[in-house]
Amino acid sequence: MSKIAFIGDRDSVWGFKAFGIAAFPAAGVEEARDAFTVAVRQGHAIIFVTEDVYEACSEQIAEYRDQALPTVTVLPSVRGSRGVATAEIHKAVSAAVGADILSVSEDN
Amino acid sequence: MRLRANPNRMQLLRLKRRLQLAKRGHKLLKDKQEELMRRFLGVVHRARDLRHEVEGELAVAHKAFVSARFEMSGGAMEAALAFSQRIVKLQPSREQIMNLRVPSFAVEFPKDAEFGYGFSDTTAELDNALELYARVIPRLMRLAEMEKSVQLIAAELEKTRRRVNALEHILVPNLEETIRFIGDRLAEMERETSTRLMKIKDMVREH
Repeated sequence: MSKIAFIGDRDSVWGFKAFGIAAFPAAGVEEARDAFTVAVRQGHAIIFVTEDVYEACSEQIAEYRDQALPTVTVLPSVRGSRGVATAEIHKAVSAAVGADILSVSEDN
Repeated sequence: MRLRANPNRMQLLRLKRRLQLAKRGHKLLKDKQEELMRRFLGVVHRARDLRHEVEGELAVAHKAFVSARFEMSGGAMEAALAFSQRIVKLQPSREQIMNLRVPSFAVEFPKDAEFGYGFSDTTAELDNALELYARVIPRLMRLAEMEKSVQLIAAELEKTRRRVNALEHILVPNLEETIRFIGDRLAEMERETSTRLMKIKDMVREH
């Protein structure tokens, strides 16, 4: 069994099958949630999700936020990136530091 | 705000011990906060840069894959992908940072292995697209590891900061105020007793 899963629309995840990564094609919100549940139950260490899936499953994903494994990581889909993951990093920074020091350094 | 405590010597001693403990705890937590912050700043910049690179590369790879997909039938694609031999092996473990456990992934990836599918029913585009994916995959693992670390350290930092602030701005000043109050009260009682004694002495002498 593979230890990596990728949930997303068919085109985004399909190619990763070639590397032994478990691909879960999911078209809608419901499918994405079911796929996420299955992926967790199968014990994948890393679960990659596309931005759409991340938004659909945000509650489920939040449960695993404080745990080391499984690690959920957002990847852009074939339709490109909307910067969801970057926004997450910025959110983490402002929570930790009390100010978004990353965007300050980008402005300069 | 003054704590509710009876103004006597027992309480005074107890509060002084508590104050000492609170100050020591505060110092330790402050050290922890600094160390966490140091690690956080180290990892967060690298995570952001890696995220940036990976998203760019993945976009290119995705594009290549989609155009390869148009060239092939779904069935042939499925078959080709199923026969591939370039399997990523992942050994997840946990690394300890202070009291946190962050994931650490050892990736084993056959760099030059053949894709195990036949040449007849696959296209050069597919080879190209998969090659692009292959190049970015090890870094996806690194990204997963680092972003998780960022999240975990950020949460811990926030908790630690709250604790430090609670100690520094609430518990320690409260304890100090209460100790001062009890000290004053005890001194007051001391003076009261001595005046009373002097008064009694006077009364006794008059007899």
